[in-house]
This record gives sequence, structure tokens and C-alpha cells, in this order.
Amino acid sequence: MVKDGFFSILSNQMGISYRRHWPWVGVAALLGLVAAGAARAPLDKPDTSKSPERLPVIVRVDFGPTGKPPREERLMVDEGSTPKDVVSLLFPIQSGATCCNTRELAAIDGVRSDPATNRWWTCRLNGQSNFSPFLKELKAEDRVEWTYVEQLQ
Amino acid sequence: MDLRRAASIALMGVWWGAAAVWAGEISGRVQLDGPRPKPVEIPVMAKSPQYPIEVCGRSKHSPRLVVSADRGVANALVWLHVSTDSHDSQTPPVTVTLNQQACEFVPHVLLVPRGSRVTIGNSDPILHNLRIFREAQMLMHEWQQPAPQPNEISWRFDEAGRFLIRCGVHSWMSAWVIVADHPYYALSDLNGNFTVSQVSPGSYTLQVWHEALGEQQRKVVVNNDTGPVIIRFAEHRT
Repeated sequence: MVKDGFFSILSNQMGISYRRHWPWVGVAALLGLVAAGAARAPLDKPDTSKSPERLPVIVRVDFGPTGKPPREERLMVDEGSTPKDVVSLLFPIQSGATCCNTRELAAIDGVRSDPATNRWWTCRLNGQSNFSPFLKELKAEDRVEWTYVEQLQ
Repeated sequence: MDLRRAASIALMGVWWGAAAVWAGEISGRVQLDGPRPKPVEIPVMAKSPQYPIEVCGRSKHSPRLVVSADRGVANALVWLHVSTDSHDSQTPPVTVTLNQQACEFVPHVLLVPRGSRVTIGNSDPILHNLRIFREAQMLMHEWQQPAPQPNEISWRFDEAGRFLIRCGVHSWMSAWVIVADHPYYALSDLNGNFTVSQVSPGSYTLQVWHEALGEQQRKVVVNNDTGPVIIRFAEHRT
């Protein structure tokens, strides 16, 4: 009865017969509820507890002329990891400018790039070498190969 | 004073004066024991298709070990261990030239006093990437434009030591700049011969270094009867 009284008053105010138009009144009420819920939604805080995505990559380190055995591993690494980051998960590394930047990789497991003997660490990503090993972000299933080479001189 | 005594004193003065200005030298030869090795041949290969190499030829002989027909070793560095505290021991700096020709550094070894400036040119019609190292540390790197564009790069060597020059594109290219902090240094010539000049009489340690054969030390005595010093290396690749 209360309900009947409320809608009766409302429909009289709006100049419509609620008895004849009650389905549309119901739809309008429902739409109003939905709009109120949507307006409220931005006030909810976003979920910041999501962990960085983990990616599977393959890392191979070949010590070339040193005689140390090569090592290849399949690793799960954080999204945003670089080829330099992932090799540091297998061996201790040292940074240093062997070409152009102090952030380059100068040594892996104590084996250093050596200008005098023309021995250098090289890096390939999926068979390609045209990238920066300390900047390039890896994708899932990337193959990183660090190889110690001796160039003729 | 009688005449004979005066003459004796005078002669002693002349003798001491001559001894004070007499400077000896250490001369000798660096040679390789065993048969003369064949020059190492290096195939010329491009690091990347963007760097043309036609001007470099098909192969190069390695400049690291150059041995004459009678086994004299070229470009061996010979020096004395002496104190460098005295200002008189300093040699004035100079300006010298190192060039890149047909994808080789010419000359392969330079010996300069500390503070000298080396001007590095590029006579090749291709890009080179000049790098200077002190041991494993790179001191500079710079692209050099092809000839005939102006492309000289100048570097002053303010510290004594051995500095390695490389091209970042053509991996076989190398040169050494030896920076001396006193004048008692020498480089062996194509026949392995060397001379360290203006050496005061006395006993010294003679040091020898070669990039491919390693190092040796020898005790030498400099007087007016010093004979040639023969430094022998067994064939040992470093």
C-alpha cells in the first residue's frame, strides 16, 4: 500500500498514469540503479597487488677458448628483464665499457673481455646481434646466447 | 807547485771531466729461437653487411709477430728500470702520426715520450671505429669518416704505459702506442736490432716486452766495454 501510494504520488506529479505505464516506470527505476552503480565505481581503488609477469627464456653461455664448459638453462624471468639481467642469474657478472658504455657486460664468471688478446663477449638474441644487451627487454621463449669469442689479429 | 805535479792534476781533471760527460749505450738484438714462423694469415671478413670491406683486400698478415729471415724480432720494446724523479730524465713530448691504410694501422707500434700527441688518420674510403684501450679499460671510441673527408683524430697521452688502438669494425686491426716516462727506451727494428742511448755507466735491469712473445728481464752493466745484448725468445704465443 505504501508502494502503491508512492508510485501514485510520483505518477500524478509527472502527469502519467503509473497503472498504465508501470513497465516503463520499472525500466526507468532499473536504469537509475545501474547509473548510480556506474557513477560509484570510479571511487573503488585499483588492485595494485598484481605481481610482474614471469616469462620463460632460454639462456646459453659459451666460454669459447677458455675451455670452461658451456651452460644452457631454461629460466623463468621477470617481465622487463634484459639479456644482461638473465645471464646474471646463472653466473656473477661485471659491468664495464668494452665498447661504448659503462653498463656493458665486461666479464662473466671471471672471464673478461680482453682487448689485447682480441677476446670479447658477444650476445645474440634469437640468432640476431643488432640490439643492446642491457636495454632490450625479453619476451617469452626468447633465446639468449652469450659467447666468448677470440677474433683473429 | 812543480810542473809534473801540475800536469798530473790537470790530467786527472780531464779524465774526471770526460767520465762525467761520457754516456754509454746498450745495443743488442731480440731474436727468436727455432725456425722462422710463417706469418699468420687473417681472412678479411665484414662484421656486418653495412660495413664494406673491398678496400681491405681478401686477407691480411698479422703484424703481431714479424720475424726477419735470420730470426730477428721486430717491434720488441726494450727499456731500463730507472728513477723518473729527475726532471732531466724527461724527454720533450712530440706530435706523431698513426694512419689507417688498407685496413691496417701504420706503423704497428709507436714509441713516444709522455705528454706526446698522436694524430690518427684514415686514408681508407670507408668508415673506421677508433678505440683506445689501456689494458681492459676503453679510454675513447669515435667514428672516423672515410677519406677524403677531413677525419683526423688527435689524442694526447699524458700517462706512461702501453695503449692499444683498435678498430671496432675491422677486428684484425690493432696498433700499440708505448708512452715512455724517461728516455731509456728503444724499439727493435725489422732485423731485431735495438740501441738504448745516453746511458750513464752502471748496473741496470733491462726489460723486454713483445705483444706476442711475452716479457724478459736481464741484468746489464754499462761501461766503456759493454758488448751487445742478445735477448732470445722461444716461440710462445700469448
